[in-house]
Amino acid sequence: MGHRLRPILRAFGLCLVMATQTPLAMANPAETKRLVISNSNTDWGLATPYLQARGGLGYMLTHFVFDNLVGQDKSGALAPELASSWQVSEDGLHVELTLDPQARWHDGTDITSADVAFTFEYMAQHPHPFVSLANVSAIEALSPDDLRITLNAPDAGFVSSVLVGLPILPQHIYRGQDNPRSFSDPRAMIGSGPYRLSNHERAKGRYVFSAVENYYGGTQKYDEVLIAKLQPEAAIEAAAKGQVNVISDLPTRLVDYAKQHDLQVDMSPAGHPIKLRFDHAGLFSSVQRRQALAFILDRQALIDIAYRGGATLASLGYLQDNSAWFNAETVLQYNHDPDKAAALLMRSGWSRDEASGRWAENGSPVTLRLITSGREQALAQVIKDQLDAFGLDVSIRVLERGALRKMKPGEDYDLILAGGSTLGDPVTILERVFGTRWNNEQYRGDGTLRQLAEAQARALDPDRRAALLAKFQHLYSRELPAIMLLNVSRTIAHDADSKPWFFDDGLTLGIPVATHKYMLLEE
Amino acid sequence: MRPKAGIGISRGKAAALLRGLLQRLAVFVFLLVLMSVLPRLLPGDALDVLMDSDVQRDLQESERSALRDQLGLGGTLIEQVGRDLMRLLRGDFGYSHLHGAPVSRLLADALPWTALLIALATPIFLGVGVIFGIEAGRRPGARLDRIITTAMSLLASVPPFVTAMALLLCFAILWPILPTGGAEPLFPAEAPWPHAREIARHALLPACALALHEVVRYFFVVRGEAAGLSRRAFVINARSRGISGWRERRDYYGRNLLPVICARLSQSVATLFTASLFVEVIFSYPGVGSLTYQAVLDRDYALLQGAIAVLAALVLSLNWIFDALTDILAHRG
Amino acid sequence: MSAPTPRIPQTITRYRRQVLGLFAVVILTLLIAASDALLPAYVTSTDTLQPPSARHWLGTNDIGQSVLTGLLRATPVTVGLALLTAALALLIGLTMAGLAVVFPKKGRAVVLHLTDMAEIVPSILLLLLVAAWHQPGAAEIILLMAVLTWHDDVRILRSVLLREIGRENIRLARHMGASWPYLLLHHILPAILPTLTGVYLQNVVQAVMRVAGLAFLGLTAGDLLTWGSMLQDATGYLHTPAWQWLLLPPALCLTGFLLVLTTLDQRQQRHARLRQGANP
Repeated sequence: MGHRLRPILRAFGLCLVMATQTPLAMANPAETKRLVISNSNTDWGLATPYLQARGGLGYMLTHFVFDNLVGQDKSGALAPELASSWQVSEDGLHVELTLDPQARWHDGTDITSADVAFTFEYMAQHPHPFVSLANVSAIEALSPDDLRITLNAPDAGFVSSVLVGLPILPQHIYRGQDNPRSFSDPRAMIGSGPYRLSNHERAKGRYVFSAVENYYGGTQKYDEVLIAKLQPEAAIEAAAKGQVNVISDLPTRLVDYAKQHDLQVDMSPAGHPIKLRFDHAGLFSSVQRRQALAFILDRQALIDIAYRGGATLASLGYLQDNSAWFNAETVLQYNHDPDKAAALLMRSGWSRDEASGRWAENGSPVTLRLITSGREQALAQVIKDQLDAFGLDVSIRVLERGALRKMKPGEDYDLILAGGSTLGDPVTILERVFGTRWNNEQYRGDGTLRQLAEAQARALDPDRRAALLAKFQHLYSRELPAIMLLNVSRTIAHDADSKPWFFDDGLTLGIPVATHKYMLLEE
Repeated sequence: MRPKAGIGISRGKAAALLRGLLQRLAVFVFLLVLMSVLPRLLPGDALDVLMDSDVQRDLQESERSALRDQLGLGGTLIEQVGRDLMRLLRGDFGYSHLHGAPVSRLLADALPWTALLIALATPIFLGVGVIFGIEAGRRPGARLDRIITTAMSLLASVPPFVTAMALLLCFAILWPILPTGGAEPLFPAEAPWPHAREIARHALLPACALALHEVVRYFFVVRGEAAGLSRRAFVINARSRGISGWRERRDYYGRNLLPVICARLSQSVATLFTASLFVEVIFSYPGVGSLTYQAVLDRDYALLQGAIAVLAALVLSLNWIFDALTDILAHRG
Repeated sequence: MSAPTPRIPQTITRYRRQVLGLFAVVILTLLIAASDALLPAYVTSTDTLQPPSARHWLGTNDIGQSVLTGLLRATPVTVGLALLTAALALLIGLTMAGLAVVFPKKGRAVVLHLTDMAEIVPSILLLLLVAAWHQPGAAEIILLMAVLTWHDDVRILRSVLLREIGRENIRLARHMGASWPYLLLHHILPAILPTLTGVYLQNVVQAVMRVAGLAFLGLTAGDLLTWGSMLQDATGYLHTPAWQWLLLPPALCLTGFLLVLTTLDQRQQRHARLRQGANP
């Protein structure tokens, strides 16, 4: 056995010697201009509308490859993309668009209005996960570069949600594809955007995007954009060696560590406030109890403990300060005030046991059932401690996201703690506040708030819409369909040369990413 | 009763091997059915889990059923499970919608890395375990035995993931001579030799962590067996004839330990995969363990099913092979 | 009934060790039940990630909970889970072994087949599968782990049971009309007690390792505080000084507990060997 073992041992010894020496070869000096973005997540699918992974980063990668009709300028305002101009009719029922005549698919084919019409029809059959076309009644090509979209009802957010959010597909590739979710041919990735996916090494979680020649929308800053899967700690060390330019998901706990390595750290509220939602048919059908809860919770302490600088106070009037429609003046404030809370709870019919200090309803002690998912578990714990100190018992159940969806208000919970987006056009309020899906606030109230939300969604005049939304925010903060607790921040670290930025209202549909395609283009 | 031919298996042995194979097949089918049924009993809709995102809009019921069909989530439970099994029998492991790739490709990308770790770890734990085991077992109760055995007992009391974290902390963070994770640097060297060295550097710590976990088991098995041998007449005779050193260890202990080691290897197949899961998670190594773990966290059932089918097939067939080898060796010995 | 006179007092002196062990288990169970009231509350505070100080002897974690309190509160849970899991596994194993002995024809074949199958199930795959479906809480962990580990005990228990039942005195007593329950309690159980203790200890070691591993992967229910889950919380802080008070205490507790168990196990084995040597 010995003579067989010896070479193995020798080889192993050699490995050991080799391995403890640092490698001499580093990254090959960039003849090509390259941007390296790190992300700790696994895999974001392929850069097509149907193969992208769920979540924002998957959409962002598709957005590198597929242009939409309308884009954003540096400030986040609407800007021409595939459509060089667009016009909404007086009654809000027609939108006329003119396409950029220079625009080409990556294979050189001209992009025409037939492609756009095809995309609308195709996506009606194979729905895009983020964009609904239910309000589109017809689309007709007027000329190769002109087309008209007809809507069922006026929609103030049509341009800023559908036209900005919907990727346009090449008709000559996608026609006849019955199941786009299993169409992963390289041809499926022929788009119109500034970059094409030139390499994807799945095991390493590495994407290489290369700049498309003669892109109609401007010049690309980088010849190559590499997205690599790296743990944030490793990414910081790589960035210190100049191998990584942007760390796209820096955990708050590593902010100091990143700064020690000479990286710049940018934070931006993600626009996904964590909300405390209610069972509106049960204990919290009373507005006083909802208001009392807002007075009991010390939201700044919640942030300091559960997020340690990684979050900011959220506005209680639904819209957050990054929204163009945000109006701080009308929103009511609820500063931490146990006495006011106690008075409100008394008025709602609860009483406090003098000896134990616990709250009771008709003599039986109140226990609030709070459900949440693993992501917000720490926050739930802090909320429980705060309510407990006030005399309210809380029982927490941590559930899978899948199980969370099936929980029924009243039967399974009184309170539910979860994040929810407020980004994107305010037409989404109708669904997010009054909808009946699990992550909607499912609010009824007396109907006034809903009327306001419907009126602003129809209001085509921006001033009138702003006034309606200001009123809405005031009423929302008084009725509290949900308590917007805090706004979690997205944090990125980057070197001095690369300049990523967050849009105030998110990328296109409200996706809080800083490494979008607009940072890859020369201004 | 020594058979004349080198490899001869009696009828009883063959029947036992066949029974082992059938049992493994039954276990395999049980796992397949379980993994097909369990996710579908989940409270919550597979479609919702798949589409879970904050930007997700409200889909119409017609859109949902169309999507379900496209994603292969339609039909009753029995239909779905039947479809899953038929698909697996055809060798189609399904499609991970989260990764946007066929499961077979994801696994093919990840398996070599795990194989590399195991290939590097095996000589370490076999070498160290067997050598120390023989040294300790040769003279049971001697000082050397007591020292080694105490050290090994200590090591046995540390859970494997704690050892892995300790290695990571010591050699990659506090005294950073080795990389903290991954299988390759961000920009691998072009030339094959430096590239191989980089890969070895990245694999060293995880492989050691993996080996440490197994060393203890082999040590105790080998020590016990060697202690038994040391009291046998032929070893005592050999010693009195002055046979010692390498020859004694190799010819008198090593040879006779082979069946025991082989039997132990058959159990190691499963424990190595388990340990590699922990090690790969801790060192963020892109092997099949971390892939499976991520699939659990993401609730990526397609990938999980495929990974479990492949891993179960691998583990079961490998330990059957080692069982058969053990039988053959025991027969010869 | 003309059965031999009961020898309970003798049994107690002879198996002092086991009786003491049982006593310890009972006390431990009581402590576990009372720990919630005895220990300080595990509350969050704004003192996050504080190093050890006079106020927090072992520092605080990332949401300002005292590590020492956490450690103390996790102790009964971790230990209790392991003890109960091991006990349930032993019970299943013993039942299976008993079935194989009592029904030597059909029972034996079925039990041995089942044991063989259970042995080759790659348990980690099954655990992952179940955890992906539903993250198990305390009761489910006990059940799951016991179902995955009972097979380790069957063979040895069966051989011990066979040996005891084959003994002269048992056959004699049976012949004289002693009932099975009587024999079980007065003859067989005392005789197999040392083996049971040894098997149980090994089960506990296995259970501690497995439960800690599952918790370390973050695959147990979120509100189940164990040493393993505390280790999981520490993994994010290896690059900061906080690992010293987040990682070391639970790691040392876990290792210390395992060390105690293996030492006990080794002593138990030595005793069993001595006794066997004394009256073969």
